[in-house]
Amino acid sequence: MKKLMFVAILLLTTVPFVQAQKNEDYKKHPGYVDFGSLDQFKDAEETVEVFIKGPLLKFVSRATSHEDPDLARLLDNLVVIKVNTFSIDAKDYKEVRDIINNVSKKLDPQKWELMVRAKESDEYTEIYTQFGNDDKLLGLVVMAVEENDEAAFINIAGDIDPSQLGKLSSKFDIPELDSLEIDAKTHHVK
Amino acid sequence: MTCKEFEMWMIDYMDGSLSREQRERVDAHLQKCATCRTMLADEEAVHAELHQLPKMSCPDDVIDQLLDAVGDDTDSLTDRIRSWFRVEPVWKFGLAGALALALIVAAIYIPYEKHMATLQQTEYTPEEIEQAKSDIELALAYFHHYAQKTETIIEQQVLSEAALKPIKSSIGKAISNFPPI
Repeated sequence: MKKLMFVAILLLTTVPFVQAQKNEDYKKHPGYVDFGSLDQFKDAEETVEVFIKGPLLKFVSRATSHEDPDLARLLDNLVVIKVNTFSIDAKDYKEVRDIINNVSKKLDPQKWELMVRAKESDEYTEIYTQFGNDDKLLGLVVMAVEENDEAAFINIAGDIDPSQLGKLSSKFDIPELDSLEIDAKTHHVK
Repeated sequence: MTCKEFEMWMIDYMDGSLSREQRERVDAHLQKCATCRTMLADEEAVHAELHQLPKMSCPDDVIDQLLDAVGDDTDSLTDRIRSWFRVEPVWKFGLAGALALALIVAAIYIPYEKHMATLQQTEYTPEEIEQAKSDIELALAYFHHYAQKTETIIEQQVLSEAALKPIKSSIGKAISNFPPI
C-alpha cells in the first residue's frame, strides 16, 4: 500500500515537472546563454527585444519554406534567437560593461571561445562562439556597447550553419540600423 | 419402528427436534421395548450429569495448538476459515490498487491534457508567424550589424598597426643608433 502510494505520488509530482522541463529544454542547449536580468534598461528610450524559441521558429521555418528555403533551413535547426538592445546614457556604460564582464566570466569556463574582443575609446564588443564535438557551431553570442548610444546582447543557439547565417544576415542587413526608428509598442522597425 | 431406528432417532428425540409424527412413532416403540427405554434412561442421565458440569471456554490458541499437535494440514484450514471473515486485506489491496491506478492515470492524463492545450495554443495565427518572421529578420540584421561593426574595428586596428609598424621600427632604429650619453 505504502509502496503503491509512493509510486503514485512520485508520478503525480514528477510527470508535470518533466513536462514543464520539456518547455524549458532550450535552456539546456549548449549554445544558449542567459544574460541575466536586463530589466533595469527596459524603460530605455529605445529598446528592441526579440526572443523566439523552438516551436515558433519551426512554424516560421515551415511558413517560409517555399518563399525562402535558405531561411527555412537555417531556422529549422535553430533553438533560440534572442536579441536585446537598448539605448544608453553615459552613466549606463559602466553598468553594461559590468554585465558583459559577468557574462564573459560565465562563458569562459564553459567551452565558449572568445572570437573577437574589440575595444575602441567609446565602444566595446565581444563575440563568443560555442562549437560542438564535431566542430559544429552550436552557439553565437554578441555583446556590444557604445557609450551614449546603444548596448546589444545577441544569442543564437542551435545547429548553426555559419555560411548560411552570414549569407542570410547580410541579406537582412539594414544599413541605417544606427538610425532605425523602432515602434515603441511592438519594438518593430517602422 | 425397529430398535436400530430408535437408536438413530434417540438424540433428536431427547432434543425435541423430531416432528410430531416421528415423536409418536418413537413413543409407540418405547411402550413396547424395555431395552430401548433403559437405553434412553441411561442416555438422559449422562446428559443431565454433563449439563451440571461448569461451563468452560476454550482459548483460541488451544485449537491451533491441538491441530498442530495432530499434525493435520489444519493451518491452511484455519487460515481458510479465518480468511472467510478476514476479507479486509483483499479490499484494502483492491482499493489501494484502484487509488494508485487513478492517481497514475491522473498524473499522466492531466499533464497530457495541458500539453495538448499548449500545443493547441502554439497553433500560431498567420499574423503571429509573420511578426515572428520580421523579428527574426531584425535579429539577423542586428547580428550582421554588430559582426560587421566589429570587423571594421578590427580592420582599423590592424591597418593602424600596419601603418604604425614602419614608423615604430624607424623610431626604434633611431633610438638604437643614438649615441649613449
